[in-house]
Amino acid sequence: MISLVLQRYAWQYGMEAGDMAEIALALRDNASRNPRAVMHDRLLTLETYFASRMIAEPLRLYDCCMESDGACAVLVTSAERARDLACRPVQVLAATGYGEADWGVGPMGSHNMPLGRYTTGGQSELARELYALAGLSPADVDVAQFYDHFTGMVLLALEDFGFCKIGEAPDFVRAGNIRWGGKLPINTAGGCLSEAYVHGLNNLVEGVRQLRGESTSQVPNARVCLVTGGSAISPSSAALLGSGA
Amino acid sequence: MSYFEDRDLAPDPNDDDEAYWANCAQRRLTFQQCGACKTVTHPPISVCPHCQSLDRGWIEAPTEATVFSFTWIHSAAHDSVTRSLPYNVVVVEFPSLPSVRLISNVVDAEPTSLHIGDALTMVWEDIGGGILLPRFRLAADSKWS
Ligand SMILES: [Zn+2]
Repeated sequence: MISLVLQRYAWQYGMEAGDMAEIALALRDNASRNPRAVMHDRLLTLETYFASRMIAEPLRLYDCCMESDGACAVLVTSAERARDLACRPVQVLAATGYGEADWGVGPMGSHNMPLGRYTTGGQSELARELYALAGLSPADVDVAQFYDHFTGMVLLALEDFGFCKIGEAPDFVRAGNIRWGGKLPINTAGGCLSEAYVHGLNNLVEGVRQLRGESTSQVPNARVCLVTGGSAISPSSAALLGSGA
Repeated sequence: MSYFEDRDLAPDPNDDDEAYWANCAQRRLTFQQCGACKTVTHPPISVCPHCQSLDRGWIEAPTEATVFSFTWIHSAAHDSVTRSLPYNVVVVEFPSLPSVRLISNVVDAEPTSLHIGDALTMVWEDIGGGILLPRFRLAADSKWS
């Protein structure tokens, strides 16, 4: 189902294989700085990427997240109780869960989505609600952790969450924006593609690390981090976290 | 002769789609149309997803079809498809019926011969057991025309 969406997206907006590779390479680069990452010392080059086997066109092996064991947890409490905890608390600026009607039938019927909705991750309405709840806009986000089951879906999430216009995500990543040191560093621990597949909860934990200043790919002065739940499925969820500083 | 050799992949008609498969067995591709709001939907479902009406009728599918999207699968998720690798999965659209797309396969296509927008012709594949599957071929494929 994902490959069908991405194939249509590529045809419609001119996405090239190298654009999905850029997601895989950027996240592997982040994982190389993260000793906890499963792919910590496993170098990935463009050559290795293109030499990897095709799974479901246009998805190659390195476009797919790993299967790995792992565990992580977050502790959620009131701001008042958090004040004197041993660890530096991170603020939940907004969190929302949402199901878009056209996605409600899931993978078995999602190919019937209206044309404008087909080549998306189905999270644009969720994103609007999230930004409105927090009183923030994409320009306020310093670092983002996108749910990364497949590289191409991260491109679509960049559009759904307003970091670029529809069809412009390939240009956005070609410009190096998602790299550590770029305009919007993403999945700074390596994500589900290169840290571990812990169903995206590891991306939430990394969001907390960023705002505590504890990431192995720290974004200087990170104050707002976006964390998104699974795309191309309904309902989905997302949160905006703040450093509280 | 079937696109997939293994009968394990045959559909198992049940309440909502029994009429659909019965029509297929008669070599008729049909989609559900809501008696109340007239929206055409697929796959079959007992309630209209748009207006919740239980009045479900059937219309004949348009004959003009094109490739909306497709993929070639190179990795077998099930033993029964291993011998068919690589196989294609195609989202078929009907220009005169934008609310319905159909997941199917284009038989006898090569990875280089399938493109979005290609015109398709439907062919029935009798896979035995009273089941006929709507599959497609490229309309310009000289082997078939
Ligand atoms: Zn209806």
